[in-house]
Amino acid sequence: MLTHPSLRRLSFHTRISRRMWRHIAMAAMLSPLLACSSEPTAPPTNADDAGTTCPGVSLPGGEDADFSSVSGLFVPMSKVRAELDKGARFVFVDARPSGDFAMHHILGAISLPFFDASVCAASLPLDVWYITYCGCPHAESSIVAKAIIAAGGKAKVLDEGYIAWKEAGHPIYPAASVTGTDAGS
Amino acid sequence: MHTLTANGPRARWMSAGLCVMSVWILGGCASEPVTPDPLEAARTDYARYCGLCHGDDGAGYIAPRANALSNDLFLAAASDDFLRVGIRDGRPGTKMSAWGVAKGGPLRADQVDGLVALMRSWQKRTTLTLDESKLTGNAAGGETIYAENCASCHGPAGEGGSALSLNHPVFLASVSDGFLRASILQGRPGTPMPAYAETLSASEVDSLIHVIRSFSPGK
Repeated sequence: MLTHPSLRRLSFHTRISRRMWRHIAMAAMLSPLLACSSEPTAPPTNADDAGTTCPGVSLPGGEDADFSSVSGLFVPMSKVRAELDKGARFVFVDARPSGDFAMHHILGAISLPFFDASVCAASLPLDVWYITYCGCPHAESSIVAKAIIAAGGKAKVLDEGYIAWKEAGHPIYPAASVTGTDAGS
Repeated sequence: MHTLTANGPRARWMSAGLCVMSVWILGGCASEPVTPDPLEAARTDYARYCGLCHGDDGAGYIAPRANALSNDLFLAAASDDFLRVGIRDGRPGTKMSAWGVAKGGPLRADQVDGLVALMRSWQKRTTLTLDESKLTGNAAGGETIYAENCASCHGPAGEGGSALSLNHPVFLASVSDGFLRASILQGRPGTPMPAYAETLSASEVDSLIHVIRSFSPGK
């Protein structure tokens, strides 16, 4: 119902000129644009995959390690240590959050937290074996290992995990920083 | 019969009015505003960083000792600062990492605040008014109560077991006596942590808290 006095005069027998119709049609065409401009701006999300910093890898020298004979996803610590002692070429991947890595980690490891794995796995060199680990000892490291494998790489999970590696006296960095249960996730 | 043309000042005003009305009527989006979810970013962060251990809905214990963040009594007793410090500084030496950027983690202060707000959105009951009065008595007698009631889950020295640890310096520095009182008296319904309101007297609860405080290094 038209209630404003000026509009009330637009009774059903009022004729609207072609020029007026053009004005109305133009307004109708513009309305979606104006309406869309009134849509709320989506709140920011923090999952900024584009801003994720993926680790660089300095590939070690030596003959390639051979973990292909180990069935399944998990490799025993003794096998990993044996390959390390042989000077075989592979890379440790710390799957724990970056704060834990900053405190201490397996000597020579790179940090690829589990929550960045899906973004960063494909950026790793894929012609080398990766041994992932966490303190869980499997939850976070399995996510990273599976992401590397999904990207076309070769990965196993350190079965006993980081805490067992540390308590067995295998090399960590910094060497003297870890005591008691201070092992992170 | 009138012929309304776009000539003349009155007609131009009417033309403009019609344009405005068309925009108003046809701009359907404007009449149905979509309310943005202020916690969307926090939900993303929670799923990315927290859910693996604490569960998608905060039910907890997906990983051992990852407590139930959505437990209503926990949220009713925990202050925002307690939650904030717990996320930011973590529990170094446990599976709970320090998530704040200052500790090498990925979360900015505003992201930590977002996670606190998300947890608050899970809280259904009114925030408790905690009894923060000075502890009475001392640890005498508390050791026996702890050994008989708490050690089997929290460890003989508060180091944790099936339940979370009580001896962590960050925990002890940030938790209040009122939070501990409320937690002991009311427990955590829906978890193995029972309520001791019918079992322990107020002085026995305070003795127990003295014992827990003694777990802190330097005391």
